[in-house]
Amino acid sequence: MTVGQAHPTADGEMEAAAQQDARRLLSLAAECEAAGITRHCLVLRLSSVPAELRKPHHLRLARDALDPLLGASRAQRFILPNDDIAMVWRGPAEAQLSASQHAVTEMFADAAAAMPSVESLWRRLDLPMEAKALRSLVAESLSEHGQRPDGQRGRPLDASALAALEAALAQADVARFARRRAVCVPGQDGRFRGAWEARYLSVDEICSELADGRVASAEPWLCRRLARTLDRRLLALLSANDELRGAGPFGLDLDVASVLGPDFLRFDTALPQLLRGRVTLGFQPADILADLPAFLFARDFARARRYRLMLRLPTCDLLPVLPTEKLGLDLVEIGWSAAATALANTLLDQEASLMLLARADTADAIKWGRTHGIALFEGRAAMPGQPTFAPRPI
Amino acid sequence: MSGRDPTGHGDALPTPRFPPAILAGRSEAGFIPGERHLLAAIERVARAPQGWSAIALHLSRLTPPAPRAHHRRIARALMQDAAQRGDGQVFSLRNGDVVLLARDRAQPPAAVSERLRQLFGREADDAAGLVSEWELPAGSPELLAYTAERLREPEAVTAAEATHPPAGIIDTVAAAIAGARPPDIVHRQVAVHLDPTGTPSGSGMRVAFRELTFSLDVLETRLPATMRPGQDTALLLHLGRYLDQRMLQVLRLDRGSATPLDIGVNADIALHLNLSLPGVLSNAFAVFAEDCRAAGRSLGIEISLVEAVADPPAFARAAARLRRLGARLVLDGVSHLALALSRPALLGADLIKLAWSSRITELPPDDQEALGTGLRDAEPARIVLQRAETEAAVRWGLANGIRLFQGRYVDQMQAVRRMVACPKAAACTLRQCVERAIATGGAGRASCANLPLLDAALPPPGTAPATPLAAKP
Repeated sequence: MTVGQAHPTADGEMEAAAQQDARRLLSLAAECEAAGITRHCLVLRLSSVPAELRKPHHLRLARDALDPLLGASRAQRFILPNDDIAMVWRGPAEAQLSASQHAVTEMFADAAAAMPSVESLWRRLDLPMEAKALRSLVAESLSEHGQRPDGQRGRPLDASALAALEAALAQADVARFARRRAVCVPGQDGRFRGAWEARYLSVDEICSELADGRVASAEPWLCRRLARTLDRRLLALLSANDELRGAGPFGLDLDVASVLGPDFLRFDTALPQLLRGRVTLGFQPADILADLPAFLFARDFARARRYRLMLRLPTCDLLPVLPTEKLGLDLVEIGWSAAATALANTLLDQEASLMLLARADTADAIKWGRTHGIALFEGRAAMPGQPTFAPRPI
Repeated sequence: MSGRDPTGHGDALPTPRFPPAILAGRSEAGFIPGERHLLAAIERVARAPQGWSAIALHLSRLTPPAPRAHHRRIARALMQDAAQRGDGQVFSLRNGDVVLLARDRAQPPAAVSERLRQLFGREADDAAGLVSEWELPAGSPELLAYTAERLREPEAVTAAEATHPPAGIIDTVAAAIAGARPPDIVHRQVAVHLDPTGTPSGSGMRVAFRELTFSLDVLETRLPATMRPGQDTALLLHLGRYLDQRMLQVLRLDRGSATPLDIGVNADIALHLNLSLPGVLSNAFAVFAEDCRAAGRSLGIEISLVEAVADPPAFARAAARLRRLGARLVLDGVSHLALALSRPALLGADLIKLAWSSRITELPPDDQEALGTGLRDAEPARIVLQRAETEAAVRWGLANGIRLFQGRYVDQMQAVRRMVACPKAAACTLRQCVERAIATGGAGRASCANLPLLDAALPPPGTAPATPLAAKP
């Protein structure tokens, strides 16, 4: 990113202010960590938004959208050099957070297709536990602004970059890349409430930090190979002492082979009894079909250990090709796509109550899902506390 | 007694009092087989055997390629879990079987056995015989005999854990693909249409298409062991792009060469190629498709089911492109399980290649029914039964309405027809005729004295193979 792109109207004064904000935030993170001070933090990662959606008026609107959070106790705002905005506050502020999320979602609603995923745009961090991750984000903001070699960013992951990344991952503490995103159900009060949290390691951020900003998704099969490595690291992370103490229901997206590996067995042993039956494992269709005997064995094993099983379809188009009842799975996730709705209209009614609508980033997606009786939602427009919209008649 | 056994071979136990003949002679390089630990444990339990029982999970009876590493790992984990609840111990035997010796306190042995049968039975011909149970002391003699028998057996070779080579091998493999001589690594194989009302040696068999494939097996023999993609599906699929590029390049360079790689030779036989989605969507493919059209050669492109479901938008674009170019879309790599558990026919392919497996005829009734439904959904006339290596495969296909076949058995039927028609056949064996037809060059093919017949689509009718092929009722 160049200075000009990041701050089209920036003068030296604004840039200096952003540098100062970054230093203040680093200092706050260090202070929380050293003294065990509890704070909540939200980072709106505008740096992940396409350049055409990052014009000065977008940045102003985004700052305004976060204004509700200034009403929280001890709230502070930090504008970082790469246009990211961080908010830090103390104590509960669910209503303010929900209002801000809603405002940001509405702001980008017309350009949902071009927007990054929720986890790339909207980072929640709890201090002091995640102070390291916050410092990493701020450092990234500073380096991205001034030092990142532009030639590397956006290039696809290739064999040698993947090999280097795998070597780096073997040494890296991946805890700082651990993320969660909420999967919600519509509540009786017309607002979404959390059903479980999807837990994952952020591939985008791992590539950004450890692979010079290479884009893993540009090479799907290398990305699948990377995912298998990350499965092992995530399972090891979750198996650590106390990692799951007090945890609520959660979901993991895993390769079939990962469920049959030694790391999963260790995770299964470490899983608290209270969470048994409350963990959902998601599988991709290509992994399932690449080794069906292994999938069937993994499915039966996971079911015997009381995991819920979900098929993750990239779009609705594959719904008729991979019927969940034939595959013996409990849930199916479909990615929202306005183009696929015409097909799905005829297919959903029979199993909508066992469906999760992913990438539900807009009011249209929510309305469509509600109309078709979909039970679970994940996306920028389906955060806890956000309105669920009444289902409209078909 | 510990419920945990991290070594998988049982804890060290006092020297047992069984006859030395049972215990001697099987310990090599300090390795003490699980059988000896099991015998020692049985002896110790024999002092107060009431309430003890043993369960053996016979992983050695799973149908190959099982047992795989994950079967052994999960069997041990589940049985360790049961052991923990009943002061038990788990023993891994050298033939792959796993034995649990436990006190019947928390869980009745029958419940444990049933869970194991349910989980592992799918991959056994005889699910009921997959688990043995012995209640002690009544079952002690039988358990001892079973254990002693295992000690007398040679150690079974077990499937190693699948290894994942470093990602850095991709560049090496890509270089090998680019550098290999095409006749060394490109093979060909016909698929035939069989009419069960005719005889396979006569008008009942005609060539439907000829497929050109890269032989990864041959390629791997030219790579150091540490540089082979092996079973890493993701790496193999990623390598598809290099195979595509090379195949399209080879076929372009060999245009007009009058070799088996010249698309203008035997242009009456439809040509099939395996391509990845990026390969179909590449400019090189558009040029190649135009070359085929100019040569009057029909084209079929085979895309793997895994790729099709991994990226539905790209698959839709590839399918549209193939339709526009007049090429047939073939869905490749569909197993009988995939046909039973999914509906690949809805992906809109012209043909579906179903991989034959001897397991098909041994499926439990529910799975048979699901496969039958899958076959009807896919329409048998659209199915090519590939890897038809045996007469049983062809018989099953014909009985189920399938008419297109590809595989070693088909190659042999074709070779029989050629040899009957060939005046120089006395100098050749059937195997040579089969292998020369598969080769696209090299010394083997050069040894054939009747190349026009070797390459022909329709060898004249001759005698039938040993067994006629009409479908059994």
